[in-house]
Amino acid sequence: MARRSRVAVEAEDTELNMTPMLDVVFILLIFFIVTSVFVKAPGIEPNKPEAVTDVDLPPGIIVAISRDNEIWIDKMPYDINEVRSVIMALRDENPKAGGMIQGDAEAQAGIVMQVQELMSDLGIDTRVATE
Amino acid sequence: MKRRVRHGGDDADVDMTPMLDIVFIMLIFFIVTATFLDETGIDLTQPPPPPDSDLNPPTKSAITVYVDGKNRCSVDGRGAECDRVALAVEGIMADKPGANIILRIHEEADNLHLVGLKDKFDDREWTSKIEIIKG
Repeated sequence: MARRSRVAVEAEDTELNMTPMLDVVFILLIFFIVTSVFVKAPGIEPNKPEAVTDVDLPPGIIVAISRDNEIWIDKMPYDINEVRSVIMALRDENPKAGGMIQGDAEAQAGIVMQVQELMSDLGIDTRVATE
Repeated sequence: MKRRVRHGGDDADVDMTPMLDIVFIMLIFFIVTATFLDETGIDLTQPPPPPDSDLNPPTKSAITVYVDGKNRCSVDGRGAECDRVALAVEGIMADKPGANIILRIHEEADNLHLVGLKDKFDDREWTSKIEIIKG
């Protein structure tokens, strides 16, 4: 009886050393804070063409063009005439952002180049997304 | 142990539990919102037009690749299958070494051809220029 109660008291008093876990949690937290990018997703997932010479580019402004030639930015479809002001607003929010045009393989080349020229015109380093 | 600490006084333990809770909540928030973008793309930026003083650049031979509004490809006026454009250009390139390529694409052609052809030319390190044909 006496022994049992002593054991119970001992177990209750045992404190886990949380410091190593805290270190790990902090490192994870900092990693996720640093790597998080708040990008406004266009809202559609176009079927992008494939390419060999493509390079990685972390985008800040994503414009998607669907196969029906709708231009999607931040989950809203826009007309080609409205795109300029929308992109200007996004650029002002994040002036250093690169641009990415996610054109569907069946989207019109004219629209893709028009958006590309417009974004280059606004001083955004723009790429056309590939698979 | 606890009693000893209490008696010691100078070694007072700070209660870390609320901080731990907050840290965990932040950690979970950032894990959930993390989007790992692995976007790849090719550069279609056109070189700036030459300055006015350079109105008559040294004439270099050029090869014209045309894609019409119905996605039919042709190389220097001769029809070619779009998959074989690079081969056709390679054949002409043998006669005109160092020629520039002018990629003329009708605005209604598919993005696939714009990206695909530009990619093939870049892959072979040929200089190419894109022109969009309207109408």
